[in-house]
Amino acid sequence: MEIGGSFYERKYYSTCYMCACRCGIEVYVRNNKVTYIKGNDDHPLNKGVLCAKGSSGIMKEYSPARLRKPLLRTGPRGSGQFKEIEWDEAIDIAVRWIEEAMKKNPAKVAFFTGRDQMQAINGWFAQQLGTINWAAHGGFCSVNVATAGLLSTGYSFWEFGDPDFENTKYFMMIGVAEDHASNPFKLGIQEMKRRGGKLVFVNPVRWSYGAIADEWVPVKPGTDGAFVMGLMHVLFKYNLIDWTFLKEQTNASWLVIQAPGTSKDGLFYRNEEGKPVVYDKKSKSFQPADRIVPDDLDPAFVGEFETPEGLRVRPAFDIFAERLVRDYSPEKVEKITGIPAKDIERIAKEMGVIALYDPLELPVEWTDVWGRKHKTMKGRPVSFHIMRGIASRSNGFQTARAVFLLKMLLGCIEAPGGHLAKPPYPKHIEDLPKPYRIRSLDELKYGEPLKGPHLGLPQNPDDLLVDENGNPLRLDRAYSWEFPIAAHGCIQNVIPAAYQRDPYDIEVLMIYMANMAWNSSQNIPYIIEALTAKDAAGNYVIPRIITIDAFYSEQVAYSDLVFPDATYLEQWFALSLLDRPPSVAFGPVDALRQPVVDPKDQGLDVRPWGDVMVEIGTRLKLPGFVNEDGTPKYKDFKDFLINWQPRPGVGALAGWRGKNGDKHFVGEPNPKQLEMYTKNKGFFYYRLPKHMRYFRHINKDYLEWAKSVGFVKKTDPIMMNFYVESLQTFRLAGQGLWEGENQPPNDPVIRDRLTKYFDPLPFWYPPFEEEVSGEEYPLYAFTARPQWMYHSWDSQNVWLRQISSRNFLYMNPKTAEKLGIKHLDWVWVESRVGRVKCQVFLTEATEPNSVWTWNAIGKMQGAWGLKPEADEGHEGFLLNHVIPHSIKLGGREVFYGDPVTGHLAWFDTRVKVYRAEDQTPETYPEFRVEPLPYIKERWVDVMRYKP
Amino acid sequence: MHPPISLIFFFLTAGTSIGLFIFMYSIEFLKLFGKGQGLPEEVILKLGILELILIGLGAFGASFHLGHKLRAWKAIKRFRTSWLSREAVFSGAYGFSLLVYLILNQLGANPLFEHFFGILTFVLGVLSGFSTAMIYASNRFVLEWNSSVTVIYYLLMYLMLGSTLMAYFSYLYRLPYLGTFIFLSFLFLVLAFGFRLAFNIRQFYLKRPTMNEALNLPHNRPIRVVDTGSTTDNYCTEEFYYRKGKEMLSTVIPIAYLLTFIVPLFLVLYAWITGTVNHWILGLTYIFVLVGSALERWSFFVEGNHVQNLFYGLYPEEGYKLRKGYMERKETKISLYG
Amino acid sequence: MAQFALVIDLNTCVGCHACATNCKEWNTQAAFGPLSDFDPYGARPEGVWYNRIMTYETGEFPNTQVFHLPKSCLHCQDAPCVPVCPTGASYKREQDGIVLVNYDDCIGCKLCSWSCPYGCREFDEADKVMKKCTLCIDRIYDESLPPEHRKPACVLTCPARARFFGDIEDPESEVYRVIEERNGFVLFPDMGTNPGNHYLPRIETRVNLEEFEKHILKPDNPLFLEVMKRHHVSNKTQLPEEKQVEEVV
Repeated sequence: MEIGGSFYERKYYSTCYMCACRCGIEVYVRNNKVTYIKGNDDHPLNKGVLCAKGSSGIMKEYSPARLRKPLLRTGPRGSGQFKEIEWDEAIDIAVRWIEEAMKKNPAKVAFFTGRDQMQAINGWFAQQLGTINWAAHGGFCSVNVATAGLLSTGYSFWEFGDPDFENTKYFMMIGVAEDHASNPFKLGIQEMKRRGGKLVFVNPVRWSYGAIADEWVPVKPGTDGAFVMGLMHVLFKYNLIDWTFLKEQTNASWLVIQAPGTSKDGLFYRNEEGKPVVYDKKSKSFQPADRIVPDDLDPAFVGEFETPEGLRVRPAFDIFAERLVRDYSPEKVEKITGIPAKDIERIAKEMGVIALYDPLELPVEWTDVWGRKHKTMKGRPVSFHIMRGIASRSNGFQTARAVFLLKMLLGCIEAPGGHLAKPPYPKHIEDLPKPYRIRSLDELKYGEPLKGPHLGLPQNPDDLLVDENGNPLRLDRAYSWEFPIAAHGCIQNVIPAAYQRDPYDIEVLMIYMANMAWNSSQNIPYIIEALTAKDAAGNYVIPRIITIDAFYSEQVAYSDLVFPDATYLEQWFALSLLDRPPSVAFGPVDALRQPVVDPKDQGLDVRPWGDVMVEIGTRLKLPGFVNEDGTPKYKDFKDFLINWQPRPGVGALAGWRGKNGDKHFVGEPNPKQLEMYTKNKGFFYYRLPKHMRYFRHINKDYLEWAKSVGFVKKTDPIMMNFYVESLQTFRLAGQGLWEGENQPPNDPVIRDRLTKYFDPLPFWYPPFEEEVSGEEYPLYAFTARPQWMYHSWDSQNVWLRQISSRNFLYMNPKTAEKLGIKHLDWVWVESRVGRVKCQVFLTEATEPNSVWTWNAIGKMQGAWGLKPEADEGHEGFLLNHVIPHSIKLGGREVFYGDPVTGHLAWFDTRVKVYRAEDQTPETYPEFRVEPLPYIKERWVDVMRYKP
Repeated sequence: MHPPISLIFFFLTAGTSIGLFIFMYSIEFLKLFGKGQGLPEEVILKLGILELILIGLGAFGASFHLGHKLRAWKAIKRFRTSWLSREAVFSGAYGFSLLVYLILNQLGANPLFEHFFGILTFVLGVLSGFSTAMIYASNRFVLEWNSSVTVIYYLLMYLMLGSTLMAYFSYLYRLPYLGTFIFLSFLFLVLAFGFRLAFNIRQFYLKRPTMNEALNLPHNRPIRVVDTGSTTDNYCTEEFYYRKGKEMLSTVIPIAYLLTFIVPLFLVLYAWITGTVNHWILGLTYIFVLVGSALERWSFFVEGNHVQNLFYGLYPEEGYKLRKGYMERKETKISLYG
Repeated sequence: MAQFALVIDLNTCVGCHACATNCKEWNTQAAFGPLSDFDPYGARPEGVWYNRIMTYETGEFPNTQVFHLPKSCLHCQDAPCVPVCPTGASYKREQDGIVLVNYDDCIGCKLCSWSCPYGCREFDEADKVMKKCTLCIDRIYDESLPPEHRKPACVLTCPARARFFGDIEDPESEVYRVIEERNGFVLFPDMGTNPGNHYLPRIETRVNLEEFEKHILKPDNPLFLEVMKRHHVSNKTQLPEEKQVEEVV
């Protein structure tokens, strides 16, 4: 046994891709094989640590599920019959298919990407294709929270904002199992706990972070919004509100017109200059809101006023206060959430007192945008983190909004100890991009790029992507009247919509890194039907499916043409600030991936999607990929990363720009940029000076700097939306009072949704499924991913699957007792769309109205390089089979999502659970694909990894 | 505990070998003092060879329990601390000493040497059996085993194997000790039976550690396992917990008792009382004892609950539940040894 | 005498398995590897791990507590696995108290694992020898590594920084200090093993509002009262108009 020095020959700095967290890694290589992956000590995100997934990256690299060569389908879809073809041929086929489709109309090509980390580049590629149909996976992931956050505070959670763990003292997690920021959160929570901070875990399930929570609030699923409203009721009642924050940084005091039945109702009362107005109590007069600070106004928060024009107006806060007082007393909230009123009151008092009275004050001088100099930075050490438990519900948008209002009441946004934005955020809400607007698909022309972004935030109904009859223009119905503010698109609707040819049929469906045939879709039997359905002529209804993936996934098995991707250890890649940034709260970060091993060493003829994208774009002669003389602009993706400039001076990576690498953020491409990144341990971190780390919505120096590097367009204060006026415009449209160009169809269902749910102030309503499923399906069923697989693309990983090769249905023992179910019984879980057989595991750590399981452990037999007899396909199960993808409203089927953002409400599912007569340990329904022949050859009885 | 077939095999072979030698040599030894006529040389040769073969087979079989057979010789290195090491040394020495004894016996060498090795073999045999038993009895993490009862009944089982086989050979070779060995068979069957029962009954009165003790947590809150860190089995759950065995145990134990003790006792008593002796009765007695002992050994392992199972929630809370009607838990306390 | 060991803080451990897989990753390629995985892609994958994470719960809903317990060789001061080894392959190092297996001497009799009350030794059926946590002895003494990396892989990787490594007999060490300060405890204290590895208990933080209740926390916000009055909201509990969501089970 030799000790020392022998474990590597080469060492690389790169970025992990076992989940969405983007931690810095050190990769050690011996004999051209990866021996060890360690967290990068210097990386600001993970500070040297690495999670279970990151530490198992080796087994991803050498997975038997790895695809070897491009595949062309030879048998029926799902049969697993493919022939291997050469890259040239594969790209030719793809180019031909895409070209044929684009000639009919670019919208006939739909490109949807899953958990990719190059959305900015993929989106740009889709723009070059000229199609309107592109989006990433936000539609089923987090768009509710992201949208609510951007609309409220100009930033959100996850990649966009973090608690100030160094200073926070009270940290509430709502609806979080594990998260994007996997390692930073664990680091942060332990840091806070060691200082004696309190972690409150609001979740129907006490697991993972819940284990170390100081208080567990086992809220009934889907009622988090009511809980948060209840907290705000108490804060208001006890006057635990940061009035200065509300006054200076939000529009809570702005006056809202109360004129029901008119087109002005619910909009801000504006003066002749179009500026919103407040009622100044000192001068007893109406004053423009932008004079609050310079003139030291004392705006009224409560009351009702009459304007000189005779309009009735109320401060936005007043409208909300009435709602809080009337509907959300702790006693009422207890009835909804199951959380005792006294606990709600106590928790609210705790957070209020800590936010307002904690002595935390940083001795840092700073200047606000109004020129006032502050000697210190006063802390508000209460912070929050929210995730899918809130996002994935049909009331998710308004619930998330409630959380943002709670943050505003406590003033804990961008204050020391509070919740901080990560640069390039926050941004001015009014400057956030809108989806590029077209009026008809005929505006899309072959060979012409889409002139603007696919995604964004519509500010009023005229920004929607609908035709003159109000029909959706996008395949996924994003930005239609059904899902007007679908900020991330609606990937979950793509396959059902393409199958139903509603709104129209498509020719080519391209899927990158998304498992839409399995765990990323809902109601899988229906999805399989959609993927395999044929028309009268015997052609597939969805004619051509191209998938880009490194592994033999279920999606690959149902594709026609497959491009085998390289892994994260085999390619150049940028974790860009243009994308979801890998930044930290104290400054922007971007990072690099570099090839560490060569797939050819494993006999794999695979190419990174980036290279393939450049090749396809070049062969299609898409404008962004060829020079005027028709010559290719980029040699390959590495070249692309260096030289691509979506805006002059701005590229994929922000560090070491300029010819000599002496400019950051903005500067001409630097041919040596990637080398400079590798020299700097793979990342670029601009650590903001101390006086620019907090209060960035109104921090003069920060905003000036942010403008200089292009993060914001102006240095005005970033006003937060206590009241989201733009929502009211949609509501007016629902009432028939919108005076713009786009009008909703005369459909009572649509109009009712607009009127009811586009409330500019948050409220709680029961998830839709409650009414539809009713008492017949009394339990909430939802999923979470275990920490060792969260966001991991490969739960087939040899090491990780040893931790969980199958999943259970977790249930409270008392619930089980009432249903006559015993520990480890096999049961049926039945929803209104189907049923699935699985095994029950009883635990007191689950709220009695809930059953839940781990997602994506269950696999289709034969997929993912596993033997068909693998646990994953037999005792493991997929809850998605019973999750509805649509809902009947007013006799018509609508895709099931949040009415504002379209966020798939997969946590809403209601089920009944009963003991299976047949106790055979086998899930049902079962699906099976044939493993590729070469995958079978890779199966070994014993694996002994020691390169 | 997962029952290793190789160790069960070793028990049967080594047990028969040592048990048989003990009685064989006892006859020779008694002859020294003018008690009895000893054994004909050829019988000693035959039995001796059988004993040698059995201990050889036992050692060979037991080596299958080892990952590395060729390194087995290294097992002598920790004689001072390891009962397994002692077992290896004693059983090896027993075999060697037995061989020397046989040679001396057959050559008609100096009786001093012969009996020196006879006694040595006798002692080494007992020590070998004792060491094997102590491997189990000294394991304080398997409470069922961790008792002198284990050692006593282990040795008694050796004697039971030896006496029943010796009875058979007495009949086969028309030796004048048939009556004696029928009686000794009866005696050791009864004693082994009694101590095996004691071994079982003792289990009901074990003060078992709890999960709280394992995790060193307050005792007033019951703890449940939610996740063992692996949805499949691992070495620990397989080596220390034999799921199938636990399910079969309540069936196997009665059968083991029946075959090892009840039926042979009946046969021996029948022979004793009616005076009916033949190949069948005496041969079958040994065969029953042998087959029964295999099952008994199997049960011995499966009955053993390793405290590490506490971490997996696989440790019994109190004495395991036998099939209803077979043995009820009694209120009276039986004190066997201390 | 020095006793190297791990101290694991259950107050920050979230049960993420990072320590387990990073341990596997390091050790399979290092001096004491490989750690075999059997049937890796099949029905019942089962491999050799030095470190496993168990999860337990106690109490009844809603007063349930959940905790995770990472469990690897505890490097006992009175290691029962050492004397039972017939060959001396299982041994405890004098200089640092690390319990190791010398693969060249191990005959694979498994007796050491029988003599471990913690289930922290795993037999590798492929190598036919017993394997166990080495406290990354091939890291901690490796002078080619930067000094800050000379720690067990699990300690370096733990995202909850729940793992401490050092000499628990050295009053100057961090591990000694945290054991003292945080009432570190051991598993199975009655087994006479005197484990090296310690655990730090959970601590529940509560916020004491007493002082604030007296002076600040008064439900008399005039604005609240004004809203209540203006909208004629009764101070008493009022049932919401919507259909009540009832307890479903």
